[in-house]
Amino acid sequence: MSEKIDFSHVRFLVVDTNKLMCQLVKDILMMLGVTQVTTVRDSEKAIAALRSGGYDVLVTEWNLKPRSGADLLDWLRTDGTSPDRMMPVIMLTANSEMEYVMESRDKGVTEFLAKPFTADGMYRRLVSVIARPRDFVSVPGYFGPDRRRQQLPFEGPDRRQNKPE
Amino acid sequence: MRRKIIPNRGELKRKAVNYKTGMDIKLDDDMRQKMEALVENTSVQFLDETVETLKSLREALGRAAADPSARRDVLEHIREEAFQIKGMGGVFGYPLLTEFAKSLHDFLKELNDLDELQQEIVSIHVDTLYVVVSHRIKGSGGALEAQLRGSLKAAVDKAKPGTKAG
Repeated sequence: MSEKIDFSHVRFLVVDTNKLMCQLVKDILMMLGVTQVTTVRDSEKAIAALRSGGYDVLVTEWNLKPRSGADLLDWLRTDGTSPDRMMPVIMLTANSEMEYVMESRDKGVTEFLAKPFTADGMYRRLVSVIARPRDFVSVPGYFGPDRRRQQLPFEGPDRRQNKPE
Repeated sequence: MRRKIIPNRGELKRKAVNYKTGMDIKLDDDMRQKMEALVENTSVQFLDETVETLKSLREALGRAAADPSARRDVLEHIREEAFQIKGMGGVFGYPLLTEFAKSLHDFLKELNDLDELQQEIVSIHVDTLYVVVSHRIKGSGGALEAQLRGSLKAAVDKAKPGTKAG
């Protein structure tokens, strides 16, 4: 038997300035079986929605006003009033350049998906944040998912001369 | 420096992952086709909205030409719309829209004003985007695409520092 994901109980908040993009992401999620999707088009409304509670996953564009999606992520991860500092966040953005990927990572993003995206790419990010949750790391200057990906056990013969300490 | 590991509570996984109901971990072909059909259906709306956006950009350029004090607002407006088209074009099967909108967005990224030459470059971008939309050009590697790409590059090169216009 293989693992399955029942999306019907996962609650999403989608933040994008573009109405059509909000609707498309919502339609895709509902097609997958999600029943609770809220869309908002600016970061202050997003913060108000998050504060009111009831969300499991945040999907946000970087290019938001009045504060950016990166600042929204930073608020969620570090602010004392954040409702859930460990909430999975997918940065779904047309800011696809490497500098944005790195900054998102440094601010504690869970997954980064560049626009234009494919259905497959979107689905893989959803599976990752739901079915492959990562531990969090807190060090000065960083609070977010462990940036090292999962360490899988090596099943071949151990040929080391000395055992690791 | 103290490094603290906080174990993931796994609440979301417990809520959604099981062995009985729901979607497979790997997206199956049937669902992929349904999702692609959904995007395809929405693409008509995307193209209609893009036509309206491009009209608004032409109007904005007209304002910038008539009133220099409007240039900064126009610049901001065009930059925002270029960003939106850059993100959406490829989603709806129009990679050339993404490519040309990215070219426009990159061109505007560091600007604080729109002088006449820069307005001309923006105008050429808008016209090129319009050609892609009006001809519903979905590919990115054909002769027409190469011609559009070449014209746009020549236009952008004209505005580079040290290049004389004309």
